[in-house]
Amino acid sequence: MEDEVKEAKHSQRELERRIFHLKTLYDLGQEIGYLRGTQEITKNLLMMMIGTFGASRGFILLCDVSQGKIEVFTQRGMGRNSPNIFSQTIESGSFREFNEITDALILDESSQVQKKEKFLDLLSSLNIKIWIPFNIDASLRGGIGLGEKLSGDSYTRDDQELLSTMSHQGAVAIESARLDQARIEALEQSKKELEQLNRAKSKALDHLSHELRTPLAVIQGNIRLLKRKIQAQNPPIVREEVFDSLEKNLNRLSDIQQDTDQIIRSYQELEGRRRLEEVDQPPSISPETIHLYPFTEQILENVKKRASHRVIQLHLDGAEDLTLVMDPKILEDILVGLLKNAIENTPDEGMVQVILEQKVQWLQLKVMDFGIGITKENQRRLFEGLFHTLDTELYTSGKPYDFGAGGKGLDLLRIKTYGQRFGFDISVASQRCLHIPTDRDLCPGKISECPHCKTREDCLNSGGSTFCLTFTIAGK
Amino acid sequence: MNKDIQLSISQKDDVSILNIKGDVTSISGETIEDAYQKVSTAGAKKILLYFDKDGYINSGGIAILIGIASESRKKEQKIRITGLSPHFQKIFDMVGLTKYTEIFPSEELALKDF
Repeated sequence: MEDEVKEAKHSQRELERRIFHLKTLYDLGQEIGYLRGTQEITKNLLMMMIGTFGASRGFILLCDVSQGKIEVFTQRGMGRNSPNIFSQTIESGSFREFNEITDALILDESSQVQKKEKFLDLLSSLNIKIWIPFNIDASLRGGIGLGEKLSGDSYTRDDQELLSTMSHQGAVAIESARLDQARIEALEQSKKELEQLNRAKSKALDHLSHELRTPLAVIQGNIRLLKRKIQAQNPPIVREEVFDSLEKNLNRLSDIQQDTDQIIRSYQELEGRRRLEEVDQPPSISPETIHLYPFTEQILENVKKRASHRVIQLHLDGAEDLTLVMDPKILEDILVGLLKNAIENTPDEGMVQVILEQKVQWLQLKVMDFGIGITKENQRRLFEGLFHTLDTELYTSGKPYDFGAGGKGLDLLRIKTYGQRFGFDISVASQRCLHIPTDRDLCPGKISECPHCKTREDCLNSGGSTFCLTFTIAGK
Repeated sequence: MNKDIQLSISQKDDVSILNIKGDVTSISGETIEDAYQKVSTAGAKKILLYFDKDGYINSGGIAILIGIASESRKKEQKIRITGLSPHFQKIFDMVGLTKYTEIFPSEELALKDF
């Protein structure tokens, strides 16, 4: 009877020990699974091992082959922060010796001692009673050693297995953390290279832009001079239209040069602010509270006048009580740019709509056209600048707001740089007209002349683009 | 999910009592370490760790308690433990903590033993 009670108690104790060990494996996953630093993981792993076996001391030895270093994490006595980290360069002989130990060892076993005498001398001098290999990858290998148990018991095969499992868990966590770190470093490196390239590109553009300014001015002056001289001759030897065309194209080049200058300045300002982290430096803007509905209504009226040669309906819809704090000149520039882009991509008899909305903490301003839309490939390159959705051969340098006039492709880039500078987001959703799926397919520019659309609604439903500006409402 | 640890220090005669509520892990255990250091610095020689019987103590937490027990020997302090569930009483025994401290079923008995 007494034996039975003793046996039952022993079974009960054994069961509780195993539950504790199982729970330890679960807890270890919880403790180290989300950590991202090798040292942090190693320290926590060591603590968990010491606690699980009630070990008097312990250490983790990590040998970084690639750097020729051994890092030793030791824990004696007090606290989780006490593991002292010794990082030292080791001799090549020690590496060899260290690499020879690939098995788990319980130092009480004399058979093992004979095989690994040399290394065990070292472990014994550290009062280590169990040794488990701890191999992360080919370049980072090591081991975990624990001192005698406080209970006075010896380490068993069960202990060795549990310790090996914990060591594998730790190795996986460290490998994962190292891979994450390598990915982050690779990304940071790419980012640095991209920034360098961007700066080089910006410098080159800046240089080109400056270099262009003088010869353009000289040519413009000479043409004006030549024009006056030729106009004085009777009959003129060159027709006036030739000069008109020359001047028009020169003006266009001059516009490009000025826009490029403006964008480069915006970029450089943004870059400079980022580099110096001059967050508190006030940007050269004059923010005001803008009542969006009347503000947009006024801009629509102005745009209608500028696009009076086009037959396009312009609508404003949405909430009438929205306000936004921003420099009105900049918002006007953005809105006019988007409306111009929308009108130039919408055939006559078509429609452009502006919608003002508030969604939770965001305020959205949408410019929606029912025009030809943008192919998916072009949508990806839309904000790159100097990019036209039309093929170069098909590109017509018409008047502003003409159908298919195609700007210099800089308006959208400018809006994007404004967004980066003033903290709003610009996105585009577009459906290319079903009847002209590629860039080489042409729209006649007037709905009633379209061979595919029988009614205006057919055209409105066939494609279009929506550019959406999203502002975060202050204080929300 | 770990419960945040809550710790208060009280004094009964010459015994410093650390009332520990919540789960003890290698992270939350720092609070116990800090409290232990605080009473030690104040010269405490008798310390009672009063655990919450619903609290959980993981291996990392036990490692911290081993550290405290080891430190208390060097400082010639007496550490007593109470409030543990029967399961953790057995675990503390298994890992050898009872060689450095003693576990009591109640605060009263623990205080009497000092």
